[in-house]
Amino acid sequence: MTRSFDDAQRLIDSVNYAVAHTKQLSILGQGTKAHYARSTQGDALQTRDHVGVIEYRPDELTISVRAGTPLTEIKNVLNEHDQMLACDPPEFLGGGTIGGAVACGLSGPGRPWYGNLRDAVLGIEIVNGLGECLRFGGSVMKNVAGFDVSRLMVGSLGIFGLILSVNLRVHPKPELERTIKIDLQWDDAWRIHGDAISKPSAVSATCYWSGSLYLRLSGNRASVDETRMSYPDGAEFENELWKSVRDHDHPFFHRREKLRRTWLGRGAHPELTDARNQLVEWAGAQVWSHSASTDSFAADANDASEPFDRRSANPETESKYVKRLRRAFDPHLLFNSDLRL
Amino acid sequence: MMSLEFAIELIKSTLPRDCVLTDPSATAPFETDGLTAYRRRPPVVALPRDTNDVRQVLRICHETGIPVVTRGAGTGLSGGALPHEKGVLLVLSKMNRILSIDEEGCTATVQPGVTNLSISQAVADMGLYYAPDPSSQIACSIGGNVAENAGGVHCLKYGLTLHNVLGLKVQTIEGDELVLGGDGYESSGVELIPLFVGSEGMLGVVTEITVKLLPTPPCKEVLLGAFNELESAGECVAAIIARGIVPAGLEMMDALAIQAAEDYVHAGYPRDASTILICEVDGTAEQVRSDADLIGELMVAHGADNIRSATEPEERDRLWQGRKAAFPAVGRISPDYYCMDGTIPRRYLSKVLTSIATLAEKHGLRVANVFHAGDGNLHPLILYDASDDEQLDRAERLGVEILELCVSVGGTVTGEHGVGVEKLDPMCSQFSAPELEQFFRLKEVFDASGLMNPGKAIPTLAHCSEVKGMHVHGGELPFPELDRF
Repeated sequence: MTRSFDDAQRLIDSVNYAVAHTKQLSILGQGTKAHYARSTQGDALQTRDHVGVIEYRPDELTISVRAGTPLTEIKNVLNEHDQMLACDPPEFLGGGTIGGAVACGLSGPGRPWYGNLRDAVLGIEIVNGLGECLRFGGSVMKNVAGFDVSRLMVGSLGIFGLILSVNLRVHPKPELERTIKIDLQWDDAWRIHGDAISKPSAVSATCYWSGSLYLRLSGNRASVDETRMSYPDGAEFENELWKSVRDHDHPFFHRREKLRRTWLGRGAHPELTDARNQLVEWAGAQVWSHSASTDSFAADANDASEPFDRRSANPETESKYVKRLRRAFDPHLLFNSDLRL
Repeated sequence: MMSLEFAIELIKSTLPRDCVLTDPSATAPFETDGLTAYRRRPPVVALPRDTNDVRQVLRICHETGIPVVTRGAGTGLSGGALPHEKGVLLVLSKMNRILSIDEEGCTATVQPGVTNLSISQAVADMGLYYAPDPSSQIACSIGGNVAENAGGVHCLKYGLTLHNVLGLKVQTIEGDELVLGGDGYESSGVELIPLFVGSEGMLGVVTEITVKLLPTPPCKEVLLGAFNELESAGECVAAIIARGIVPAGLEMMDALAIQAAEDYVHAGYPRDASTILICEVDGTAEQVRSDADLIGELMVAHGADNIRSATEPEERDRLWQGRKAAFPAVGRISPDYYCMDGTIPRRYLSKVLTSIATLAEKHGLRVANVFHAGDGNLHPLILYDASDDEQLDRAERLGVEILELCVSVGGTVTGEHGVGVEKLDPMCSQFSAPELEQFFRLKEVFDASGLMNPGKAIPTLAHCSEVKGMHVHGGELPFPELDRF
């Protein structure tokens, strides 16, 4: 059983203290994503003791958890019922909290097929910059009452408020998962990427690196076998690969500096210039690279490329609407005030 | 605020003559949307041809301080497009072009006036389709779908509009164009798409939408099971989900809805059943076969008889026919009906339906229930006669009580139809004063002067204190016998 402790009142009190004394707060979970985004401004607001599964309903496909709950614990609880977090958020350094995962909004290699964390969030409980405890959304799949604040919080790096708890939609685990490795040129891999999103199949993740395309096949045995037959040149490979790509344990990610990611339109056909220093996920829609400059493979104006390290984000790029949104939630700019979206 | 007449003159001098309607005979068709109990004649209807026209109309409204209500096809069921008596009705039906289709990337970029179904029709030859399918899909526009975050019968597996939109272009009343998302999965910066999807025209005007297209499943199978007890049908739904199946569609109908549908379309539904469950699975042939076998077994194990299944398109359509005709079928047995849209955690289904029956009896009205069982979205249809003011009043009161009941079990007042003008009262039960104030601060971010669809979707605190004065007696909340969490 997971540890359970309700630390909400202390967290709300801390925010109210900061409001009253015009102090700034830097929200902190386990700190596993500090190399991605971590505020260094103000007193640490520690969520690690606000933990536990509030309610898990396997037959409704929903789980409600406190923000400080470790991702590994949530995944273990779900696993007991053959369920999973569809979005598969990364566990850098083998850890991380669900609150941190929601605030960062990062997705694992199954993103195009299983959706992201935003798609899975059904409801949220936050403390805004006025010290008010607010709930948005709920624990049901369909809910269009009021603006969708719960999904707005995903990826917002905590600048709109402190997340107290989250309700998530979960997914049944596939009966079987297999990984295959196919050695082939990038242009041929690109064609397989296209099929993976435009044709029904058991493909649920892709990764192209250093001259090899890796495919994850998920589903019941019959459908996995059927898709497997389409790739007779593929060799069996360890399923562990996906965790290593997700958590940046894969050799490609051993070099941390100048790590960049580029998002391409679905169906874009970028030219890979340096196959060892570029890793392609999401059927071609996300490219990782080690490069300081803007990527040479950004195919058109719609493509976006940015350093993985968000701490270096230029404050000038934050639009006037984002600035106003921030003020709408947090008028005194208490939370993570040095982070920019 | 400058005069409305002045704003109308400005619009007339900016848009072509046939794009501005002021003659009462021409504006009459726009006085109501799908919620026909509410009607208001718009003083002016603007029909922009393109994004630039939209920007011009918004600029004029901004400069003159005149409210603007955006409307798509007008099929919405919550009065979200009800005109403002002193404002402009901005109708996007002329912006109805599919701008581009990317077959390889499986995306389509469309204008807001394109109908939902026409997207799927345009890409059917490529083996693709657009997944969200609200029942009005033949007529409703994609812009309206975005405004309401429209659902349909396949949401459990394929999600709502939000899950199928990749990019939006939005015009704000201040004159900015926001380009949100794109044709990929992620983009830099804060993700504003969730804020705009389902915002009911309160924040901006969506002028371009990029949607995700999915490969058409090679196989489908529909199963129909009849149950004597509602509880067994509910348990069967839970068992299907617990066994790891996510059906494409999972629908339930109660006895009154079954009988009305059977009288209307003769789909061969068992008239003596208390509940029927219709379940559709899709995917590869192997996946469909094994899922359908398991669902059939689970239906039998939960006491279903009369199980029918269909794999061929005509047979499948026949099994769906009664469900799809449920609303008009109920329309035949009553002069009018009022469609509710609450969502509840599925495990409270029988408790909620029993309470609805009690409430209906209290108000002396009949209720037929149609239920998107997979995702907990309940559509009770309240039967009444609109020519009798007193009955309309009772129907509305029953409706509010049903929605409060949904909130009290941890659900929501609207699953897919939106708040509009219709559900402002029950919104006061679902949200606290600080939550409503947070919504208004969010609105101000994009619409500081409060001109975008004012008075809809979010009730003011003043409105709620009036409502609470009506409904809360002696400090007691409605339905004290139910758990609250």
